[in-house]
Amino acid sequence: MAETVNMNPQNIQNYLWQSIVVTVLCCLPLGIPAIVYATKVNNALMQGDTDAARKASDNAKMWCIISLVCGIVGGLGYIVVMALAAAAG
Amino acid sequence: MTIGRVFAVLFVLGLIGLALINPSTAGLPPCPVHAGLRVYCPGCGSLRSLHSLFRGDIAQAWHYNPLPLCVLPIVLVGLFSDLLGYKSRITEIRPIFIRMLLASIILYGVVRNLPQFNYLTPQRINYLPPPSPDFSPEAGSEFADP
Repeated sequence: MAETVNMNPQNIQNYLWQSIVVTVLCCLPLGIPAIVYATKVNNALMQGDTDAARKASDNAKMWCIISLVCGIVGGLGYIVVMALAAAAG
Repeated sequence: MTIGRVFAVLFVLGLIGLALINPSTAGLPPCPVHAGLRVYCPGCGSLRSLHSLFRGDIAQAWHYNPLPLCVLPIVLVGLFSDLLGYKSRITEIRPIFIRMLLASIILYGVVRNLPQFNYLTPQRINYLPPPSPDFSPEAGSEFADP
């Protein structure tokens, strides 16, 4: 059996599934850079460049959070505004 | 608590909400993207799709939006690895496959707005049986007595 090499000993996250969820459910334009940075994390890890992987990981996390906050705040704000508009007639 | 786990908990709460609430009848306002721009973004119908999935109606989930079903495996792998704290191999996916996924999502968003691919927009399945042919043994079919 082939020996499996640990490509990611520092356990750097790529936030791939979070990026996909925010892209599909929250906010498409803000989720796309998150997926792009997730790709960069995997690319850097394949080349053994831990520093670049960490940098891309931080960016992926940032874009996921931005997109999630926009989705939640924007969605709830929109519901409140529409409810107020409906109540005002 | 890592941000990955916060995200996982929020996502699970959202899924529980979707299992309990039907987004078609909950009185939610229409999506601002569709109401304002008249376009179907790749996520259009995904809430209805996931709700249908919780009801066990996979066909209806697929017709509302196939995208959530397609990305469900990788999302569940990431979700469980973040929630339960085991190490997944999600960082070992070759970048070309992630790029292909992203390109597919964008292409899907373009294609489902073309009139030729109208069936890719959220569709509600009509479960009424097909109209039966006008058949009655009394009214002169081969089963009736001469």
